[in-house]
Amino acid sequence: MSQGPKMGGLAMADRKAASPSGWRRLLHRREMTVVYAIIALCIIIQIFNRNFATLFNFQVMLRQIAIFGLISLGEMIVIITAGIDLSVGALVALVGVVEAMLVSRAGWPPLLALGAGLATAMVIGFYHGVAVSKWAIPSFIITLGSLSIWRGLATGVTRSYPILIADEHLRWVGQGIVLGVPVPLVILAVVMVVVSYVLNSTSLGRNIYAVGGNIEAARLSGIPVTRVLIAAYMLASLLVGIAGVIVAGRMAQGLPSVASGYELNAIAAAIIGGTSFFGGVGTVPGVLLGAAFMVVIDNSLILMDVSAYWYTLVVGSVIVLAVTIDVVSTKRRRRAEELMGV
Amino acid sequence: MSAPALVGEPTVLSRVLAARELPTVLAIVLLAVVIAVGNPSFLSIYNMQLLGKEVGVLGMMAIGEMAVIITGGIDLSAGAVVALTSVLAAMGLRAGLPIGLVVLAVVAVCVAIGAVHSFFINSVGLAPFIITLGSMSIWRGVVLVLTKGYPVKIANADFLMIGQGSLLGVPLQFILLIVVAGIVAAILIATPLGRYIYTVGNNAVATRLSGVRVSRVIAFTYIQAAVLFGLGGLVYAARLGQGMPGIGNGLELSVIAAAVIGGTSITGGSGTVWGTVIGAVLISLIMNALNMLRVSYFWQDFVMGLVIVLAVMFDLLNRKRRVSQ
Repeated sequence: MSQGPKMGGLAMADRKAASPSGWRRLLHRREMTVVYAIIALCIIIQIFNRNFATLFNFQVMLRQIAIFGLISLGEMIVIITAGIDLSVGALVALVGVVEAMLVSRAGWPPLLALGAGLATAMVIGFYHGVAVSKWAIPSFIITLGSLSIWRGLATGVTRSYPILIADEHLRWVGQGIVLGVPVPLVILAVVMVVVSYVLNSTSLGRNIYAVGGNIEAARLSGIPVTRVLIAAYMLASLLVGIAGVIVAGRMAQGLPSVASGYELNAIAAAIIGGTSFFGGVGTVPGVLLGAAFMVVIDNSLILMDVSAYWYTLVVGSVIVLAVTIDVVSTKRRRRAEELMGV
Repeated sequence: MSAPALVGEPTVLSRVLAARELPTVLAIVLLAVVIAVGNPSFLSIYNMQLLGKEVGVLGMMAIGEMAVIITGGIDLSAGAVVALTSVLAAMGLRAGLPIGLVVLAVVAVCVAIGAVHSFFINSVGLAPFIITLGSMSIWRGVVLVLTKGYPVKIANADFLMIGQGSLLGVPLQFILLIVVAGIVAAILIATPLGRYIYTVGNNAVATRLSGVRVSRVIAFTYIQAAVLFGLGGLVYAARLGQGMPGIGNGLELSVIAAAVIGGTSITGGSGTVWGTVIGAVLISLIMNALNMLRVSYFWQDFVMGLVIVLAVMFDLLNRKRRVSQ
């Protein structure tokens, strides 16, 4: 409805051409605003609570950034296609439950159980992609249904009880440390490199941006829109699935109620990181900063002794604010482009 | 095959068979029979009243959602608004305010919420689902901050009547539904505003070009939706005897499902009050069936999610078939 006309995804190129060179360019990038905001927030928290800048607290935050980061990157890929995924939290829970049930109840080998968890996520991503691209169901409605279905399935089969994971290897995914670095962070780093590569240097990645920027133009220029959308949703769900096995490993259990409401976090992180709701725009480093911002906010509420009840309110406000800024600035840029006759 | 039926005036029977609501009605009858066979106490007066209450409150909110969906929008804040208003009402009553004032205040808050939604949609240009999703999170947060997660007791016996009273055996909230359904149906069928709600959903640009203030039409739908959600919150509070901060979690799904099952197209432009009430009956019946047939409470979300996905797909197939005809 009142979403305005869709235009080409030229914003990335614009941004790169906008400012001169070297340090100045780096400091003026949109992502830097988020960096400044994070630094300012950190200074404020440190003033209020000396326990903020401690090794322990940083470790806590980094592990959380790994999980939020993976989910937010998945959300970003879907938003780049001009869609939305409201089911990421439910998927994290389901993947953990599937893994835990297969390894603890059915006696599957751990690696196979982990693989089955990830495969479950990809099948669900496939289903979302087909529903959106072939059946033309709005993404928010199909993923809203999913949110209820997968959370419900995880709750139903476990009767809402957690399922313990005794296996060391599966725990290691969430708790292990490699050369002093927590395993989840290593996984995040690998995923970031791979996703950056896919989005920037493969035809699939470029097609994802093209489809999100202008689906009709993409179709007319011969891009297999249906296949691109399905691949995008599968990739997104895979990243969420990876977050799911990390969460399960970290807690050493498949918990059906875990990650409730994470979709709000992920959307906020993606938009703060510069992903545009109009589609066609979004970067991996930007979204990671967005995820870091959300983690610092979460952490600050705890350390500043503000009741956790405020968190939901803050996340909602952040989403509305970030999307408003995105919409207003996109509109302004388009008007400027029209005036310049672009 | 039978040509005469096509040529002549449509008979009552053929009209009934062609009705969009027919499959839903058949599903309701079938489900009712299955439940009654599985558990005879389904037909007890107590259970029927329970069902009437559920249909009453769900139907009322689904009608609000329906008008929004007809314009091509969506409102995901139903559950959160229900929680907010139930808690606000309980706090107002605890502070000793008269019932009339509490109801008025709740309606005023809802009008403001609906106005904020439509402001962001009309003037800022946000997608309806994102502003109402953000709003959902904000109001849930406000509820938690206000109550710290504890329920707020309601002692006012007159207020409790709203949710627990009945007239000649019919629950008051079912009567409330009939009144609301009558008003909204009258607006949709007999007023220019009602016509515009449909035309905005079919083609917002054309409607704007023909001189209709589309933003006002949209504002009306979001405001009436928030108010009906708010009345739902009052009913729940009165029924449970307390303002519950956790109430209405996932309620937006049932409300949307009821509207869509009732023939409201998720892409806008069509929907009827009558169909939506039938949709609410089916949803309430499904929930009732889970209880009656002793299906674990834990499967409720799963079933509700399936229902909405199936309803949307059914609607889609229906429209495709009509287009190809």
